[in-house]
Amino acid sequence: MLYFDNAATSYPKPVEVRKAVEESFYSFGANPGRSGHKMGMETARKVFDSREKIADFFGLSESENLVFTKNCTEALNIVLMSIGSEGGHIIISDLEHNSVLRPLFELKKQGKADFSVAEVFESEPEKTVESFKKHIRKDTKLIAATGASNVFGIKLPVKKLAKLACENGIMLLVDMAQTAGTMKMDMDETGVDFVCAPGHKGLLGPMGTGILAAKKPEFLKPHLFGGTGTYSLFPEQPAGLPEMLESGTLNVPGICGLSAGIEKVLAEGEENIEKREIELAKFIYSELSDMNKIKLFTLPPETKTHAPVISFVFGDLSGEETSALLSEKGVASRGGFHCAALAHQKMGTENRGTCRLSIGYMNTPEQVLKLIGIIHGLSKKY
Amino acid sequence: MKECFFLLSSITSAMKGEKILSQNGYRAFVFKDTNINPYGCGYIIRAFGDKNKMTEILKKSGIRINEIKESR
Repeated sequence: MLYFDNAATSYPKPVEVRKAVEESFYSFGANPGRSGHKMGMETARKVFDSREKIADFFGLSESENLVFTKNCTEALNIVLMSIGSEGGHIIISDLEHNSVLRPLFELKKQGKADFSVAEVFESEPEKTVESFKKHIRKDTKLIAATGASNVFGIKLPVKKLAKLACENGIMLLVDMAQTAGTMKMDMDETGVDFVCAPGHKGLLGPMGTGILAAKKPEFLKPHLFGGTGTYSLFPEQPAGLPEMLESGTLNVPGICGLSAGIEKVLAEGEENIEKREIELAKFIYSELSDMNKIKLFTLPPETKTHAPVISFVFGDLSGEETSALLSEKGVASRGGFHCAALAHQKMGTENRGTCRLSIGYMNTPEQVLKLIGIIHGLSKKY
Repeated sequence: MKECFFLLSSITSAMKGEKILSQNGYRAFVFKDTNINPYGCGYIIRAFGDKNKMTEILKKSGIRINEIKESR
């Protein structure tokens, strides 16, 4: 199989990640933060060390404000529902995933918060920032912006948006679903208030892992109530991160794998990984743009302005049909609407969707050449 | 050298406090005893040194201490 569905989850996972997960069953098999016995303490220490490492990775000096979640969606929900349930106004981009749109839609439906959608201008960061600025109101509390579109790869100018938010006394949430592991994030330096990221995509960890990093934890509320290993005799959910947001047993094998994945990313360097992936994306884009019956939707990918994600279709076929043809030839891509209604509406693909190729850490130039050969063959037929 | 017990509210606070005290040259380790720490999590930092100095270091680092006990 030629795997080009890394925007959904990266595959295969590095051997170090698989080993770390397996080892966790032997060395860290007890429940962390509950018991005082040897393995319980060792597991708690492993979780603590992982938390410190991941907080440092995102430039978050207070590691207790790094919360383990089951995925990026859960992390986004915690921030959006916490802030939105108190009322006010939130600005999002027209490239956001449903994991941002749907919580806000729900809040609006309940009459709790309002939101506006700002237009993103591909490869025009200043214009995009101006677009967000126009939506700022007196009651705007938060800007929620993706690092890059999960469908079209178009990046948002995160640092410039952080400046805009800071100047206007607004908080900024960055959804790093497609950029964690390739885009360096220093929360202490940039002033980004909340980062949400999956552990299983660019960070190379197992599925079922995600993180929420918070510079302003005082705005967060628990969404899940229960055992935290703290204040056990009291019925109230204890305050204080991370436990307040981590009720129930943690995904220790997942955390061990995620920690190993981040070590792998650190060893190679985010910039180097990004550069390699974008080079492959550029080549794919260039080859596809030379084929007559292929429709592309964005400008050629560049490191500054795009993540390594390419959407296309064959002739008049839908994205799902295009992806199915590739699947028959052994290529894993994703067709359809990618849980991103806003992005497809923006790009005029809401009727037939697109076929998405997403390049990841494990993709090689040889795989890309094979992929191009297959697409070239199919493009002659459709 | 005095032995101090810092009673904390979570394992994360306890481990962070232990790390910070160690980085500052104090001998410190975490253990659990709900008889000593009745504040729910039961985790305690046992550390050796000047109570006031260690407390100041922990508080500066944002560690919330529920209670401090000293060995007699």
